[in-house]
Amino acid sequence: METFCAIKGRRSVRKYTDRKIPREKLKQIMEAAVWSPSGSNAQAWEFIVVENDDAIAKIKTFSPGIFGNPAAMIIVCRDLKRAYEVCGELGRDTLSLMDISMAGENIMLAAYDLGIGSCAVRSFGISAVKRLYDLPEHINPELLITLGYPEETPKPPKRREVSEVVHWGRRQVEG
Amino acid sequence: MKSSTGAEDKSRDEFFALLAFLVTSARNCVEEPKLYGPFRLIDGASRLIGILEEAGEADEFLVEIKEKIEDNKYSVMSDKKEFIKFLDDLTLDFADKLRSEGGV
Repeated sequence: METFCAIKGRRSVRKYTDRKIPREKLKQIMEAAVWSPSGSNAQAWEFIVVENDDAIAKIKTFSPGIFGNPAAMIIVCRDLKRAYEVCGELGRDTLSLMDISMAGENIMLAAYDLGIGSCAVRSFGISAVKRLYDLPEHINPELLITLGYPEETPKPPKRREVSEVVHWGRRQVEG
Repeated sequence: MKSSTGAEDKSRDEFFALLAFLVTSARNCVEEPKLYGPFRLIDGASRLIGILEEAGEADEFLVEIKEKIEDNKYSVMSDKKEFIKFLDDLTLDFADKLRSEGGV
């Protein structure tokens, strides 16, 4: 698939079929995640892939932002210790968030390429998930990405015009 | 000690999930966009009707309300005006229901 088609075709899917995702496909998706760029090549991220229905249901209990029944879920975590060791406060407070965001996009584009829908969710109980998974203090769950075969693909939401947000050479708008 | 039936266990699980949803939503609404507050409330209403439906306690009116919520709740992410109108209409549905049952 052309990269540009994936970028424009990906939607936030909130209705999934019951079909499970083969482990091989999940491995491919996670391979895409670890090839994401990161500030100072810190790679201060960890990913927990959740496939078990019972575990997914437990996470859903604390995730108002999850809709539908995903076949799998990825808990995208920042490693604050590693981020700080590599890039100090800038790495811990800013870069690591940017890095996991880029990894998240890679995950969702790779999934789309494999015919799998996804949705990035920040509306979840961070402290609850941390407790459920016994995560150490420096491993922070920041994003959930739900995965599954789409039952329904939403229409593309309105986009701001390119001309409104892209400035060639310099910004010419007041305010 | 009173032993619980399978149905009671299921109902307890469903209420536990709803309560966890409400509590987590309350926490997250501290930082989330203002409009997510009404969104969580209306989603919570739909979830509650879902539990009543499972228990055979939801009448036709409530089932229709749930359908309307499920059909329209995501407008919060694309069209604020549409979302507010949907909430207004839903409120009026409840008022009409009360009026049809005798009103004030």
